[in-house]
Amino acid sequence: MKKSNEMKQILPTHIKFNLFAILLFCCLYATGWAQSAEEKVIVTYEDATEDEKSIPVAFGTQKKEEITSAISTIGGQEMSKTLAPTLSNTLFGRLPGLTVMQGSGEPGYDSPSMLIRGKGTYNNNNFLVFVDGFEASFDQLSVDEIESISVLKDAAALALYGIRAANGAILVTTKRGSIGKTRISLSARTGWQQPTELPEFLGAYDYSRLYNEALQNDGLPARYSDEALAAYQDGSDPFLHPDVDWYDEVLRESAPISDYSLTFSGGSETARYFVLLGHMSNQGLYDNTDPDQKINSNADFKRYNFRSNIDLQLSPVVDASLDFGGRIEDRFFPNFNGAQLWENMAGYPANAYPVRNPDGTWGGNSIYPDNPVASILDRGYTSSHDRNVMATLRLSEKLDFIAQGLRFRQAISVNSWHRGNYNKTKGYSFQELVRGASADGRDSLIYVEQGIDTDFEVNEGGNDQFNRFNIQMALEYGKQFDKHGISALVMYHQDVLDVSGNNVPFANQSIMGRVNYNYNARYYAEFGYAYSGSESFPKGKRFGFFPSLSAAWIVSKEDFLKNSKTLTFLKTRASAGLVGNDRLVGNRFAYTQDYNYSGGYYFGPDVAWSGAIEEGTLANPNITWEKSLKYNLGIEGSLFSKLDFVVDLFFEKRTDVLASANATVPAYVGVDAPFENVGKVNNRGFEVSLTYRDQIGEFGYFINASAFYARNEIKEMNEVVRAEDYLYRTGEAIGQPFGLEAIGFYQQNDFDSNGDLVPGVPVSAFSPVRPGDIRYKDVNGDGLIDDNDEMAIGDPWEPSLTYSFNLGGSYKGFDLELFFQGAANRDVYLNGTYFWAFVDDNNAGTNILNRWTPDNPVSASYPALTTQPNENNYRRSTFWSQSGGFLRLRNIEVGYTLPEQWVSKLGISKTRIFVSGVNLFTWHNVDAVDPENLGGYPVLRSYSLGGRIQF
Amino acid sequence: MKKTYKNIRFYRTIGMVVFLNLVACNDDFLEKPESNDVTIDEIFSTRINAESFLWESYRTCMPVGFPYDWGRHNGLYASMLMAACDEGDVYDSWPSSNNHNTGNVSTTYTGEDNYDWHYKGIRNATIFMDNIDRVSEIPEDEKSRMKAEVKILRALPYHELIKRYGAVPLITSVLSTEDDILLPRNTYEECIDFIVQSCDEAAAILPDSYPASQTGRITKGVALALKARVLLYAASPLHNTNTPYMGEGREYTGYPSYDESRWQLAADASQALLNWAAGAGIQLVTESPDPQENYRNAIELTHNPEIILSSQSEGWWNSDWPMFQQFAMPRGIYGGWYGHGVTLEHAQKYYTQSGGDQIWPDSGPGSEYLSKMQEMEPRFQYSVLYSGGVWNDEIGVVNFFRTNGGTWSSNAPVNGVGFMRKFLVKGNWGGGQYNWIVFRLAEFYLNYAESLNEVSPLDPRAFNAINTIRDRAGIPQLSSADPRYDTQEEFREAIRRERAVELAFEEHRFFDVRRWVIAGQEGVMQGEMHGLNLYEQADGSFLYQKEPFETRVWNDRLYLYPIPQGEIDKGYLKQNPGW
Repeated sequence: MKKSNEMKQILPTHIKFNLFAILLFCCLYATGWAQSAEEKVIVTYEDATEDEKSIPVAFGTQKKEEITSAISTIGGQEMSKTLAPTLSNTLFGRLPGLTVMQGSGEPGYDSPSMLIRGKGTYNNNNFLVFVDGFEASFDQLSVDEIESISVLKDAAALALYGIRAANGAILVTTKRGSIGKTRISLSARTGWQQPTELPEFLGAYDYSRLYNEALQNDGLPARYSDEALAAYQDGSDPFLHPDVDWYDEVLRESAPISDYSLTFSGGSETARYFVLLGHMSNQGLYDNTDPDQKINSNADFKRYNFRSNIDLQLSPVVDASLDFGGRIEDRFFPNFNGAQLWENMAGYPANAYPVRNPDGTWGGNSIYPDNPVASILDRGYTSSHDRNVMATLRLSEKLDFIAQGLRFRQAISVNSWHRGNYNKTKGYSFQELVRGASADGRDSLIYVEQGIDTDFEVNEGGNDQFNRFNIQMALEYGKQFDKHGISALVMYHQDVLDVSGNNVPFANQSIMGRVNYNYNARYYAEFGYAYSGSESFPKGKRFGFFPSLSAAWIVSKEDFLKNSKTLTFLKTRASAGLVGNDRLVGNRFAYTQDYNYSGGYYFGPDVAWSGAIEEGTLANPNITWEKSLKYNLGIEGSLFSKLDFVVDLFFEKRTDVLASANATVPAYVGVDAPFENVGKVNNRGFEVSLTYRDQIGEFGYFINASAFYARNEIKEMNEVVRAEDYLYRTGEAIGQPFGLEAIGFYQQNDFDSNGDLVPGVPVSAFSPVRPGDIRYKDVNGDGLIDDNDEMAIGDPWEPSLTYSFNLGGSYKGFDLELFFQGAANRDVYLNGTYFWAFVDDNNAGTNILNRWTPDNPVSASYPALTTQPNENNYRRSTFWSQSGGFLRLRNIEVGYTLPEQWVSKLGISKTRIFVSGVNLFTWHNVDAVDPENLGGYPVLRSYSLGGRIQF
Repeated sequence: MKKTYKNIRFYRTIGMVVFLNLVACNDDFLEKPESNDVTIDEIFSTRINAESFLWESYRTCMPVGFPYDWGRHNGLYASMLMAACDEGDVYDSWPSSNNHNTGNVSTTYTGEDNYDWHYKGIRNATIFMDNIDRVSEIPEDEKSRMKAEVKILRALPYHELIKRYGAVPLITSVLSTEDDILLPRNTYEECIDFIVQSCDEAAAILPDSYPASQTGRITKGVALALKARVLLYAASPLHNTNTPYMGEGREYTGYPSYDESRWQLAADASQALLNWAAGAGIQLVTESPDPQENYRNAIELTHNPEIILSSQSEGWWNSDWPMFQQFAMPRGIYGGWYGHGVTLEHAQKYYTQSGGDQIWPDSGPGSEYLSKMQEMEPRFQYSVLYSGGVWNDEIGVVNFFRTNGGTWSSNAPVNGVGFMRKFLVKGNWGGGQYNWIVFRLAEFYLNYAESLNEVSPLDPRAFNAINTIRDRAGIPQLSSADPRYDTQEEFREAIRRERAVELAFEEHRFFDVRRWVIAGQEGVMQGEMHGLNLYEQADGSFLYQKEPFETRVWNDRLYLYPIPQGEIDKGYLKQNPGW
């Protein structure tokens, strides 16, 4: 009782709200105490480099051998083989279980989308990302500050993240110093980027000729006369009959990219450090922009990275570390929406207008109002300037004098980001050229001005920022009792994230830990748990308990295998556990009824605004998190110490997935029905990885192959009632495309002499059809082609199977590595600007050359041309779907390490030079576009050369 | 080493961690901090908050017929209802008015109505009605007036629902998902009775007018007007008949059998409104000597004495948000994308200035086209822009024709004799205020005449009512002595024609052709629709030609919209006949 009084005196009641004070107090308390213990305890310092075999796990590290969960890891070294400004673009196929899907190639905005073990929910599949134990994004770190990246996949690996863990987690570890003399490393890489491919569109002559054909099909008079067609064909009149390749006009051959870094690391028993200065620069593909960025700008991304990771031994029992990671990101863009620009380059036909008129003014007209070249060069630019600092202070005290192997750790971490904007924008005018007649009867040009030339306008500001504040405290214990190894961890974690634009900060909080036991370093077991809570749920229902159990058996240590020359290593793993997903759909605080100030009404002749309060989606006072039961079986081993293999099988059952009750609640309730925890999804799959390594004389080589498969099935999602069984999304995979099945074209003999469909031929409910329109299967046989004939067609966008091959070899100083990555079981839907000719005054691609005509009725690959909207043809069907599978040569690198005797005289310990390429080849079956990025800023291939010098 | 010392330290450490965890890991840390959000209790604790909820009821209950935005108003996509009936058409095929003209309306898509939105308004009004008594700072009499106000606001969306779907479930309480809520449709009769009762109760309490700054709120006149219109609809052949348009679902589509007294009730209700108007200062706009000016002011002046209720949901519209301009203005005028064409079928309903019928031959010289247009009555001159006509002072004369080169002078044909000009003339590129007229007095003279002629054929009071409208329009009066109008049927046709002209484009005709059960007649919503197109000749002169621009398709099931399939699938409602 006396003790608790003492506690109360030390901890005034208000301090519990002052978390910083708590932590500070703990640090001082522990430090001072440790100093007092200094004389009594003698501690030997363990060299950190011995942890090389350790890999990061949740809030700690474990030796690879003792891990009982499913984790894949990649080192920074491997990642650096791909020159990419955004780190996740180096991860394609590198981590079994992590699906990386190519995004746009736009500098500064080229993050891919990623999934861990596919999709476990039809709602939010975002996963957690930690950098050195605290949540932060890693995309803009420099590759040279990365020690490793791990993907946590099963319940055992994720248990400690409790209520937020169900979608998996990525752990990023940055480099730290180790004892030894100062190591200096200088790395420089520079290269050129180009689009992997650009779609091809018709030239002016073909466009005009086929536009006339489309008009003729529509029963409309031709737009282009024979003289006009001749002019397009011979190019004799480039102003009134232009033939413009917009890609050629807007883009340059290649765009530069470069990446430099300088690191220092080293240290002594008492202080170790790792320091990095990095710079990345990546420009866009636009041509003729102002290099000084005064009147316009290319897409342009520059980044400066700083890092200083310091480890200190304050006393024999107290360790401290201070990590300081920062970066500055500068982005410049033409003052025109990038996605729209690429849409315009594709969508504006070659004969729209000349880039510039004879008098030098911009060409243009009101149908195609945004001259793509002028959009880049004459609208000014927008820019943003981001600053990000993440600082972490950790303290750790050895409490061996209490119990051998006991350690107390504390950490605080702040992560702060701010973006400022500077936009210098203007408008431009363009002149539409019209043919007129001059006095002598010859053609002359009339200029019709549109748009307004304006002066530059400068805008600054924006309040775009976030601040994150984390506190952790932990007790760790580890000890070996004869053959019994025991370790345990219990910790507290809290997280407050303040994001501009949100009324109140985001918060979560957990107590978690694990208990490990091993017998004779042969049998391992782990119990992981979290008691974690999220602000998203009502009082009293905020916290959940998330346990997991896992075990491993190192079979090869058993007597019967100990001496095997064949099976040199064999380990089996199994895990099961429960984790949660607190990412909700709908309102953030869905347990409270939401009323918003939104909209309003006017009264009186002065139109006086009267603001209204709107009732939001109905509250669900019982809302709770998604629950994920995960099971994993793993086996890893090695044959002849040369062929390593890892196989994991997983099964996940997600329940309590939110689904709107709108499908069952009558509309006359009058307000959106709440989201309810009724959905269920199952997800299963496997990961296989094989690596063979050998050395023949001085020739060393390796071959790695891996594959990853995940397939989910929606079991329940409160779907609306549908007319036919095959229309249900429930029972299919998340994102399963639905559409009509195209069975060729309507042919002339399907119509009678009045142009009506002959009896027995299904009628399209979408729009009237004529010969050459796409004909669909009448799935329900009701004689009508409509929404009720849409069935599951093909596979979702996200591949269920991804695979990779990595081949490498080295001979003397030379090394070579090729990395292929591929995806299968995915389909792409080719719709819109790139594919649908003449729709909404659209351009026409070369895909229409093999259109349906009466002379080409069967082997046509495009319907009969039309200038009219055609609801029958332009809708999702197998006609516009293609298999999106692909295989890419993601990376190839050839390097040469200069012989040591040459460089050592200069005080250099290692020098390596290399050339490399990214995305050099892609094998796929998709027409006209890149299989991973169907429109917008394209996927890039790059060629680069570089070198690394270590002192 | 002293073991006790160690143990004390140890337990102290453990104790501290556990303590901190327990302190921190409670619900308080994760409690949502107070912020700027509001609860229902806060809404109904102060006048200003409660009023905000009243304005929300206005926002969600008031009908709007202008296409202010992409699908935001509760109507057709990018077009006005006039283009979905025989009044007009839009050339571009994507606005959803075309779905109605091609018969392409389905149980999943009408392209017009947002069924759910009406119930949102109904819910809001009900919430307000149920809670306003909690606000102590509002005096009792004002509270009861506000309750009467939302009673009418709630009846308005019911009227919008019933005229589209027939009977619907009548919801008069605030439902939650825990309630047993699979309620069936009420009968048509119950629905009409409910609206009429709401109007009667509210009319007894509501004021005749509000202070100028509050005009636009619900007055007693609105209650009377709504009742008069609802009873007119209820008495009409679609609902009040022995031979329903389809056999099944009669209790949802109308009354069990025909009853002439329903016309009398309608006539009485219109009479009551007209009587009230006379005492409340609501009157036809007649100040100007120029009838066209009077008619224009009745439509375009936002607070003219003829307005009983107009929707001010959009306030001052401006070019920052130009969708209205792009959807409504004729192609080429103030950024208009296509404009709403006026059909020849509709144009022929207007009279000439002398009160006769206008005949356009199938073709003729451009000068004949123009002179025939110029012979038309003032309401036509205001409502329709024909080629060679003036849009406004700023734009001046507008011509549209097919050029000698084979292209349309404004890139596309008009689909009609010209463009809808009504409502729009006062606008310019800078913007304007376009209140949507919900009730204006002229309608009730027409309602009165129509219903009275059914119970008392050729009643002089009915002629008086029609002639009041015609006097203001500047055209000769009708008389039962005129052999053209001396039977009940002939007079009925004349009343209907007058209504088509006077209330053109105001979202009456679309429903009138349904409640009169004439939509399936050739030239209404069935068969070829015509326009007059001008062709430039080699010598620069013009010829005009009567040409069909589309063939319309009608199916009798379209007399009532289908209840949205999503609602049917929930298993509690019966669908309308034919769907």
